Amino acid sequence: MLLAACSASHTTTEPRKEVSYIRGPYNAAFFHRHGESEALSAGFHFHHGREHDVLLQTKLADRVQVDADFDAQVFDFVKNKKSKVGPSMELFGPYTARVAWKLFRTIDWTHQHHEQTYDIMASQRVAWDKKKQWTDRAVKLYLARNQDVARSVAPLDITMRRAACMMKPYFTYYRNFYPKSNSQAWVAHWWHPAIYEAQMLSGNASGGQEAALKAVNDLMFNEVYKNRPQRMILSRELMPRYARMSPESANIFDNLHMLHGLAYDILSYEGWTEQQQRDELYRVIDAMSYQPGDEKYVRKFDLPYPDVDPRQYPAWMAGPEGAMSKIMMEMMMEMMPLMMPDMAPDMKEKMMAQFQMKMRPGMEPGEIEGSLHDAMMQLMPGMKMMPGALEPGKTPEMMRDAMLKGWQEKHGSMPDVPPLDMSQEPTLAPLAR
Amino acid sequence: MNKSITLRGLLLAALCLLGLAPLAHAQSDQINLDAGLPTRLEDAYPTAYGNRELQLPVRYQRSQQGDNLVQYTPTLEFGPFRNTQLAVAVPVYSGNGDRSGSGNVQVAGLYNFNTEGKYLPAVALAGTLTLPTGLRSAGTDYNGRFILTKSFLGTLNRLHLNLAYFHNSQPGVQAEGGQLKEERLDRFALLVGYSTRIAPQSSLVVDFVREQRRFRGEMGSSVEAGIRRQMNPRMVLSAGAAAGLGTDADKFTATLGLQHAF
Repeated sequence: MLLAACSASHTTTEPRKEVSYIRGPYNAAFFHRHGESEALSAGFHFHHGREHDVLLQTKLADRVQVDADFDAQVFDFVKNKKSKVGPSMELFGPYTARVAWKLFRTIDWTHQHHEQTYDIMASQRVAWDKKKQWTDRAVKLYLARNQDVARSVAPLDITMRRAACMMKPYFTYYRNFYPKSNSQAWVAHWWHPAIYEAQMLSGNASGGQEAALKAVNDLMFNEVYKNRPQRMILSRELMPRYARMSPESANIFDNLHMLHGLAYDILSYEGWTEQQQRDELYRVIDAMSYQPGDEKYVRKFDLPYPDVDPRQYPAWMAGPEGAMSKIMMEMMMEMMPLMMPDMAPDMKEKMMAQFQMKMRPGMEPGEIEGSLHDAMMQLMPGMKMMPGALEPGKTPEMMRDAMLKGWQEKHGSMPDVPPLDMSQEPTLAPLAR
Repeated sequence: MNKSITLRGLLLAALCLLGLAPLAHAQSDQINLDAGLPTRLEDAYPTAYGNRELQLPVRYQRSQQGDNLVQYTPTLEFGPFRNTQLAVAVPVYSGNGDRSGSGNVQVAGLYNFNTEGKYLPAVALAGTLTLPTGLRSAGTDYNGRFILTKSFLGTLNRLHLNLAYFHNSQPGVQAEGGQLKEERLDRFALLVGYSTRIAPQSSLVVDFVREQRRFRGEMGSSVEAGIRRQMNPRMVLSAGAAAGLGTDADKFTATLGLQHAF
């Protein structure tokens, strides 16, 4: 009967397949040492989990009110530290758990990895010169124990090209239609690398990490929330020291954060059924997952701000231009010859103007409503679409291959980002009493 | 005397539950229901693969005749395979009630077939083997449980159904009030329950139990309710109570529980 009901409802059965955290001497060190920061992180994970259900259970037509209400709800949760413990996605996104369980397995497992790496950095039982060794172990076990959902260790430049979703009909929906909620995610994605880097600046000694994390948290409420980032900040920009120590973990981090954005894009798009949304979610999850051979790309990224201080919030962090927009622009330029081989210069100018607006959150004067695909099609109705470009669960393989080739030509021979010497432990003054 | 000691212990444990308990490392999950923590209801989800967890439910039980029994059930639960949970427990009883079975070794398992879908409930089968290592025990007993869990209204409101079967391999006879009471060979219990998250770190569980009791001719019904609270990433504390309906069920029970992953 159950199987018949399952079949009749066009739903699928998925195995639960939950995996426990990796044991180590550092477990829960971040919670015990930096409880306030753990509570803020719990608030961000409330956003991440709840947003799935908000988007699936509300109508796009109500987006202005939905966006404002959810933004206020998240800020209240974060500011007032409503939970001291980071939640699993299902706790606040129970409906999505039933529609696309694998998405939550992916997110929860990678959140556990982040918890592990925060713990390693926070733990005084792990000597400074052993931090990398324990982090490498955490990465290795992260990849091995949950292989079908582990994120790739390759940089986002490669995994985004593999996902090839820029021309999908949902791409940019979330940032354009839910700009406030989207900016909550981008505050969170500023905060996480800022915390890693604050730990990297502080060393193990008592007082220093506490002071650095407090400075980051104060900065968030005093400046970042008031002038929210206009793009998703990448690990290479805000946690360069950590990214040098563990580029694998840094790339996993970026790949998860991009998955959040793509999942919200897909779930806010009303042109597909829930089953089609799930098909596309699972395709993106697979495309951005770890694949054998990813190791050779691990250090293939640059460090635009190698000496950044995460306790400061300069203009470059807040603006829309950065490593993320650079990746998007490269991908756009790699795709255009395939889709629009004979484009006139003035049309290209219009296209690029729309592209720039679409990458920024919200809607601007002159911006065409909808996804990036909608804007491109309105400007050039005859634009050639690749097979798989629009369908849920399908990969536009020609587009993907062209972009991967483009990356290889531009960056394939770039030098590896250098490792970090962890033999010298930094120290930072504790908070003044 | 025994009664006052028991009540004091329960009071101290309740203070711990109100937030005075020391923090420790654990990975438990406030919405993942285990039988006895704090009600007898179990959901269809196992502990995570690779998890190890120490559990200590303490259950105070007062019978209709006024007998008191406290059950301490230290349990080691672990996830040896995906979707599979095993546990070893040794319940120990104190008080002036019937302490038969105290010290028995219980080996339990649960296998989950699927996570719930939009329409399909999560399904699990569980079973326990009880070895007669304890007080006044003879023969190896076993029980099985069929479990369904399904959420509704697009929320974390969950309904649970447990259909349990118990087999007593060597039913005995007990004299009580001038009468001989004969143990059942086989008996069934039905549990229907509801759970939900009531705060970011707390969940509520409520259920109704209808069961064939241990002795022939006795049927019991009870209403149980409890709270589970995630104290830190690795530890859940729970507290619950149950009231018996009719003449055969226990008058009331109170349970305090700890789950601590390590």
